Amino acid sequence: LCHTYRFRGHHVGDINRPYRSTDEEQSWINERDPIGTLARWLSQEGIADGADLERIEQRIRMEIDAGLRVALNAPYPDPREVTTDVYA
Amino acid sequence: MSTLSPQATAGIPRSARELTFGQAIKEALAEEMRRDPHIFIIGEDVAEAGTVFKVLAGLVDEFGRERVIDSPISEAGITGLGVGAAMTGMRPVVDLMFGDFIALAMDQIVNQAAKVHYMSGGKLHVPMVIRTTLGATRRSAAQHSQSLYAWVAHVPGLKVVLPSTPADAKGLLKAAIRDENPVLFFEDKMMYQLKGNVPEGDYTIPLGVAEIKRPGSDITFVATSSMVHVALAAATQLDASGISAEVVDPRTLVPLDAEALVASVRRTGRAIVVDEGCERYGITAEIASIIADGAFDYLDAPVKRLGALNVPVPFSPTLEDETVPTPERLAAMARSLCGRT
Repeated sequence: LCHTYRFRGHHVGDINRPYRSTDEEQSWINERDPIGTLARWLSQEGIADGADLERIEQRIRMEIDAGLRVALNAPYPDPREVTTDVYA
Repeated sequence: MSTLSPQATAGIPRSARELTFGQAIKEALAEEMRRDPHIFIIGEDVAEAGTVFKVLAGLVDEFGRERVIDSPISEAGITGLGVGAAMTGMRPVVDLMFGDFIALAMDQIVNQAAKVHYMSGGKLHVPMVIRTTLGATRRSAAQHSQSLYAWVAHVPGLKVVLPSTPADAKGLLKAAIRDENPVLFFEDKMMYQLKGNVPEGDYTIPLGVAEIKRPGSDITFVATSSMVHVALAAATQLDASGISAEVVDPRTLVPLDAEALVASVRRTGRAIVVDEGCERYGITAEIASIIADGAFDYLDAPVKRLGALNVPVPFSPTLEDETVPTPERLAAMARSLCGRT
């Protein structure tokens, strides 16, 4: 059985979340984030050190930022494209 | 979205106040749950969260977690639980957040709920309501925007309700809850904030009774759910062209008030059926066929249909807005049908 957890709201508008406590959310984020868990394990096993992990973090952040910039600067699609890709 | 036309609440002589569509739904549920302890709600995020649309906010405070039950994410599971509960004497209201998710519960809906009464020789009943949503233009993309009621309207044994106003929503939901059959109740998620006068206290609107939302003499728009408001807006635009459009809302697809639809077109001689489901093989075809059959000798033009474009609902606003019928497109089609361009 794989227990997992949604760190944030159901959607962007789900800001106040009375159905669970902030402590519960924080404990999952701080202690059970699988990316953080993997990073700690890699360090403990001597596979990667702090500098390696920082490099990976920076590279991924740059990739995401670049993608975000492309998306925000892109024009909206031409309405005539609406039927594009319905079928192969 | 416009507020209610006066015609929409005609025939309900009670003190009314303005409620949103969502508030009317909640009021119907609360009143029914006070009346009958067998009624309970089950669904994802229905209790403390009050659903993602906040429609049920506060119900858990009054009725408790035994009757407003947060379920795991399993549409098939909760629908199946509802079928079993209904067969054994309860009256479940199952909440399927997005109408798209009925796909996950289709075996329970189609092969179980719809068949149990017939296959048990009338011994078992499934008095269950499945509340779910329809509708695009919320920028929710292809898996959260579909209008799929044609799927269930096709299956004998199921009833299908499409309310268009707050007052209709309350009266129809109460009738659906009291019905002895499985009823699928589709709410347009873009209408939850729509305001209208809603009578106080108890009343029901029988399933299978259409309503003329706006009388007219030159053309009939048969419109469902939020398309009623598109049709009313188109009718207003057409006044300027000297075309008098009647807007008829069937309110329920099964049972369908075919008599009222045909009677309207016999008076006007022209009809456009407008609906937010995909046009191809959609409910517009069924209704157009019934009108063509019943009003054939009175028709001055072919019966036309206006449904959604036959594409998955796109995420991009510029594309999504191309897919849904608009007042402008409906009015243009009506002018053409009436010989005005």
